[in-house]
Amino acid sequence: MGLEEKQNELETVLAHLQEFSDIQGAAIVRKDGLMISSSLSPKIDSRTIAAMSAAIVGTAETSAGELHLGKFPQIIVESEKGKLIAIPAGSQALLVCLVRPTGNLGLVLLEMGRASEKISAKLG
Amino acid sequence: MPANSLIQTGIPKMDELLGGGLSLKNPVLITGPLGSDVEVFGQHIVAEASKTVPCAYFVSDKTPSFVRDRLLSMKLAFNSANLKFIDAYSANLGIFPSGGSEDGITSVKSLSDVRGIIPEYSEKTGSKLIVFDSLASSFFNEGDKKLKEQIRALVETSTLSGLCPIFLFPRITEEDDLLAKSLFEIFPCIITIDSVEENFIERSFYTVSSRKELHIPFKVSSAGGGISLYVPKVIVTGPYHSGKSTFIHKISTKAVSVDRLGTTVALDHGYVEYKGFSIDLFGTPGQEAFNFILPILARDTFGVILVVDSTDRGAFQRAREMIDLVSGGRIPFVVAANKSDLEGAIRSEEIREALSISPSVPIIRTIARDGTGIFDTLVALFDLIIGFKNEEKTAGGSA
Repeated sequence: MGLEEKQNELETVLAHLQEFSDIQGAAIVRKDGLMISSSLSPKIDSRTIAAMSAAIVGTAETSAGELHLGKFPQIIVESEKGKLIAIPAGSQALLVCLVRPTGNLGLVLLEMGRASEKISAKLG
Repeated sequence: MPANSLIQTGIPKMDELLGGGLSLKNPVLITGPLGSDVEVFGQHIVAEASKTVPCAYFVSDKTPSFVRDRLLSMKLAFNSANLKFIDAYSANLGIFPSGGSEDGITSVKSLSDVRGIIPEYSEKTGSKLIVFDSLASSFFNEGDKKLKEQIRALVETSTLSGLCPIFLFPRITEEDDLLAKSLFEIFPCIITIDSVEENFIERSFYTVSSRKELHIPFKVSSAGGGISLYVPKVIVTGPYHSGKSTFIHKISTKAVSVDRLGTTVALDHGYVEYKGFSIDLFGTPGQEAFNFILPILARDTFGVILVVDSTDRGAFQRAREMIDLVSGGRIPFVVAANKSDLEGAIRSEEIREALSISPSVPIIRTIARDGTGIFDTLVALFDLIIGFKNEEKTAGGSA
């Protein structure tokens, strides 16, 4: 089936990201807050993460727009025990990664960018 | 149960659509494309039925223990003393189960064998229901024409022996599609399962032939319990301090809120896994300053719950504005007339007038703080989303 194939391909993209030890988990969420695909630990409530990531990106985008700051490439939430990074993945989706606090941000962002392009090619 | 001839399926909404449950007069065919959870429907039904009557489960393409494991992994409660298997799979593969009929498994070699043993079997076991899992299998490869007659005979033998037959037919090939169509004349009740992709999320629906126009959205709940009614997104909106966050936290299995200084500043999110429902709720802020986020949250929503404070006449104007902003007049919504226990709470009809909404919009009196009416609100919204009307329900019951 079309959808199943798509899901498998998205899972492959997520699995590839997880090969980097700096990335603890990744998810693809719809911009309106619904989960599309996730490789986050089962201890994390992925439905909640999907909703919250969409809200963070939605409010940040609106803030940036109101401030005439133009487009922004990513959102990084820096916390004591790690970072949450969200970047757009096509017109309808976001790629969200959970990154170790000591993670190499440059490398992670580069890989996320590549993954985002792959996702965008599949989801449009 | 007073209606002794009706067997409950336990599948949310289905018993209502079947006019109370399954009966001998209503042999059922459940069909859908491969991978569409057809078997889960059969397993859900047999688990529920086993709680009240002895049941038989015929397997042609899987082992009895596979089915039992599925029931356990889906956390479907069943009475194992009432669940016996007729196994045509093992014999077909040349494996004979060691326990024989002692552990509740009767072995047969072929479809015609099943028909032969059914009368005696039902007398011995007192079974009231039999599930045939499944038709799409290499076990039956004797030509469609003949197969159709065999199925017809099987249906007759089952009903004559007091067994309500449920046939599961996951379709794989085009021949299967044709066969399924030709079987429609044998079965007075056909349950079809279909799925569509909407913006990368798979949505499945089931339809009961007596109420073809109703497409019931469902999924196999990840929290357990088998088939649940599934709405991926419902918005909870309403004016400042009407009780939206309280509503969401009270009804949800799990919920989180982004609130500061006692008011929601971004959103609430919760999900409900309760009484056969699986629904994601997104709560909006109420203050006008946050209007910008309403359309963001409301994208691709299936229904809206408008929460109003029944005592706050001044806020109805704002409530009306919000429902327009969120639903744009296109999305079904219900009103939760909240704080209905407080002094000064006005009647539902006054609220309807103040909001200037049509009589078809349900208004449910709620007390979010203690949970009164909140589940009824969700049920009313679900019925509205699928286009289910209550007056039709009573008409169907007497037919």
